[in-house]
Amino acid sequence: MKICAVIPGYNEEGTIAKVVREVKRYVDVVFVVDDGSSDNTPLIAEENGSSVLKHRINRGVGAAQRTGYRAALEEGCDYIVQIDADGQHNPEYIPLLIDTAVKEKADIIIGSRFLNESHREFSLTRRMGIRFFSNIVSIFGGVKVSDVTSGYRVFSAEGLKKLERLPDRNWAVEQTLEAAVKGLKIVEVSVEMSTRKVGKSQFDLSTFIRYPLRALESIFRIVIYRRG
Amino acid sequence: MVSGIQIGAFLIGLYYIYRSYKLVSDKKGEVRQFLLGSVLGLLFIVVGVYPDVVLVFSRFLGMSYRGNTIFASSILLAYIIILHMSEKISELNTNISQLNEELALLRYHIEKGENTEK
Repeated sequence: MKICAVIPGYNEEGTIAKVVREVKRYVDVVFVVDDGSSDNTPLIAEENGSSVLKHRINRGVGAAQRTGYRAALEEGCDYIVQIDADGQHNPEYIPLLIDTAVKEKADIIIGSRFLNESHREFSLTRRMGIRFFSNIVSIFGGVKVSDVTSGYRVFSAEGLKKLERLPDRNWAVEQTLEAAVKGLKIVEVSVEMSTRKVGKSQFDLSTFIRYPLRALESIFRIVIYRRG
Repeated sequence: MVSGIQIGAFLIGLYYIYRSYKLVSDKKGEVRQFLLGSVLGLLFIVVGVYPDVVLVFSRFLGMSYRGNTIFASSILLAYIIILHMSEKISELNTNISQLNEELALLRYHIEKGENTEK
């Protein structure tokens, strides 16, 4: 069984080395997708033993993941781990996520911070937003999800192939809802997450304003175009 | 008596015709822009020379004033152009994203091949 990791990164030179080194302990191949960083993220990732795919221009996390998924599928991976480059996700959970995927024969495993107390570290606004969109996905997708925006996931290669092209940004709601309406098996596993300690977060005021609109657009797209 | 707005419309019409001509002479090959420019140009010239044409059109649409007809037509035209542009931008945005993705994968394969050869 071949396991690959996809790490989308944008200006993460402060954390990428540690993340790559730790992830490498649990997987066969690590792909870092550098989304047009202006710092040394790709160089550091390469020096620490990962395969690096470089975007010429910054297009967003969803775009970086798409590139990473394609590279992992071309590599012939059976399971693909997706993990953030900012150090918020603890790579020690990878074996648990993979085991669950294999035992449960699941297509997507989502690491959820809402199945433990670690979600309390995050701001109330963000928590409310995550809860709201998780409920939306649960209603429209008919599957119980508690942490729809979590970027810590494991996919089976077969499951991933059934999903359409991800949007460049705000990918999580769309991917989860699409998987749910297509009948893919989604399982959540309790994963402790911490808030970002190094670097700049993608979440600023404009994200909070735009996210609801983009998420609504995603919901419409899935409900109207991608049923079944 | 020729009014200022008529002269203005006539000159704008000439400008659009000239722009369309330039597109052809420079061999830009932008057919849609040529058609849009030349039709708009001709329309402005006709309205500038024969303003009563608008009155006939207003009556046909059931509007009492020429001004209202021009105003309504302009909003409609602007709306169509905005819609078209928005579709194009969205299409180009997707293309850029796809090219970015392809380029990243190609570069990766080339670099990987070079490293294997070494």
